[in-house]
Amino acid sequence: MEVVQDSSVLFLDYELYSFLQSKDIKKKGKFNKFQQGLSTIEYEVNKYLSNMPSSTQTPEQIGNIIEALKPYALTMTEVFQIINLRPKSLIDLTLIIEECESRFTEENLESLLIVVKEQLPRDDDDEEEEEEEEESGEEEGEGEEEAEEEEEEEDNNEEYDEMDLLVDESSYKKDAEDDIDGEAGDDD
Amino acid sequence: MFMVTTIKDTVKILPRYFYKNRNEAIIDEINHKYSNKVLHNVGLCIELLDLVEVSEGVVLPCKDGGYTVKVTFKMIVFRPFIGETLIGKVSNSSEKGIKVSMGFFDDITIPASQLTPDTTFDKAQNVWIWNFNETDKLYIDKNEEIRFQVLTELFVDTGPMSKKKPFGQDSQESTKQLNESAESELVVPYSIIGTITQQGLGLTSWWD
Repeated sequence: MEVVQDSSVLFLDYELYSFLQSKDIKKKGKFNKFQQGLSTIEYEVNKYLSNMPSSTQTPEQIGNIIEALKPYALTMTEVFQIINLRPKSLIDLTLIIEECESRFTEENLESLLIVVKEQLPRDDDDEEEEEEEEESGEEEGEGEEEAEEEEEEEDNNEEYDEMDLLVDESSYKKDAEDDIDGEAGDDD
Repeated sequence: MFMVTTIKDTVKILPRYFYKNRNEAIIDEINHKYSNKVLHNVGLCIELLDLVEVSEGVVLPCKDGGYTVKVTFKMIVFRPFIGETLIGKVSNSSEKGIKVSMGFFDDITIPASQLTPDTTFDKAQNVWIWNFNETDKLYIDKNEEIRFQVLTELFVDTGPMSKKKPFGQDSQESTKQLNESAESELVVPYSIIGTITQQGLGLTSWWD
């Protein structure tokens, strides 16, 4: 076994969740002992992620928020963490963004929070009307219960393909990512 | 955060799996070998994402009749970076600190020195308490959702060299195996040391 060096790419919680969802449909009721490790980890990861913000995200939302966050000059890991954790308050943001106080003013952060709230709507938010309506128009198939299994599966696969593109698109921030990687390496 | 890492490996497909198509058999074999296991300095393997390259199958002159292929594939691994904020659940408390579990990954420790300042341990109740002010005492109870930051990570090589006996899947000496597995459980191949000293970290209910 050999690990290809420097080949690691970040993977959104959302991407993993939709990947697992699309697989689940195919494999339902096909438990076998040979794949015990896989079944265990799939179940646990799925359980964990379904409680996270990523469980309600759609490919459009991810695309939009990456666009919307561009003006803020965040590093790729910061963008990914914002998508994964969906910060609700200033204090959440300060945990995600490095040297938050020197890089951003309070107004900037407030507006960033609003962007996050608008682009990644959640049921537990107070304001969900406008954005939610827009999103649900196109993503009906996903939001509602599985009407037809086949359709679902296609949906998910499509999402998945799109996500591949997204990651490529956002890799233009590679420099920023390298910085972070370098730091992490030092600590090793 | 999860990552995708490219790995090269040689996979053997035994005749009993010839009923599957080739890629399916390879995917199953790789998932069987890697899923839910820690790769040293790589992280916890979740699942195969995609095959990148599969060589021609070679039948080696041995008795099993299987064929061997060289595969390059993408593996989804769990490997949070230093400083990343994660959410887990408190699974255990002791004087030494708090154990946190993420469901699929349990080896997360927050040592006593990395807890919120002014936190004391209550021996009688076996629980850490944050003395927020004189009247308010915030308990870090079991199964509460906790937000923490990754301070360091620790990989320990638990390969066959470091043990007397390599582990086998189906051995006849099941009792011996049991004893050994109880011992080897003490060695954790990949653990994360967390911290909740910063503002905003700690139980999620504190900050809502």
